[in-house]
Amino acid sequence: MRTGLVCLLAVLLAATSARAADKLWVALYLGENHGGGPQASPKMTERLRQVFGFTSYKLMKGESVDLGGSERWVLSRKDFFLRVRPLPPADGAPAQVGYEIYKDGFLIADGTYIVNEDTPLFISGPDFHHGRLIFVLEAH
Amino acid sequence: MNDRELKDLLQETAPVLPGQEARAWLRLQERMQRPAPLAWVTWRSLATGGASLAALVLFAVHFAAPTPALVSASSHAPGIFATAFYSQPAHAQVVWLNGMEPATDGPTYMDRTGRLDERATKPSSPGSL
Repeated sequence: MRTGLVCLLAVLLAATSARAADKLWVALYLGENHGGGPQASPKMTERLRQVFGFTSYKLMKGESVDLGGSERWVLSRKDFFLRVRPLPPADGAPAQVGYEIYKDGFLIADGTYIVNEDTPLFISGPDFHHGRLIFVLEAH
Repeated sequence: MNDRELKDLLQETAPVLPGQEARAWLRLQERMQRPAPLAWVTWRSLATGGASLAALVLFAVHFAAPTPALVSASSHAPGIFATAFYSQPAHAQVVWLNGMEPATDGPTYMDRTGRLDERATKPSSPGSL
């Protein structure tokens, strides 16, 4: 009886604690209302639609970043690109990355993101043609 | 009144019936030898109730607690404003940049030649990078 209760509590504690991820998937989507080509997964499409409102999200580029590695330039366009820098992890703390967004060679915004498997990061980029460019950082 | 006088008085007013002491002793022995089911049920109920309460508290903390700030954003360019927030319907952190000019496919400082290429003078197709 007591063993069962202890096991139950251990499972609950494990379920509520943050899960560790060692890689970060960084993708660039084009959100628009008349899209074609490779689309985001249905789950990701629904999540993006809740924030940005477009009906389709075309996957433009995607790269995997090792959270234990060094900084990377990712998803570079000619005028707009992103730098991701894994930050040193603290003991027992979830992984954290710093990101920087550049436009025409100038830093326009930066910040940090605590990587969480259940909570991706969407970065609203500039408008592009009839849609908008969107960065997605997602643990996996 | 001493003890003896008190005992005599009690025997006169409330005499012990024959066999009453033996029956009381037997019942007391039966109770002492038998495990008390009520106490065991109470212990188990308390343990189960405590575990259930702990589980409820853990689930409540997990699902009802406000999501901690997982993202930060700050702007470094005049006219551009960065806002970070959590989207509950999307279950996602969002960084919203206001004030950015639309992206183009035209050449930028990164072009090696510095010349305008053909793509800069022709309308580009959506999605071309």
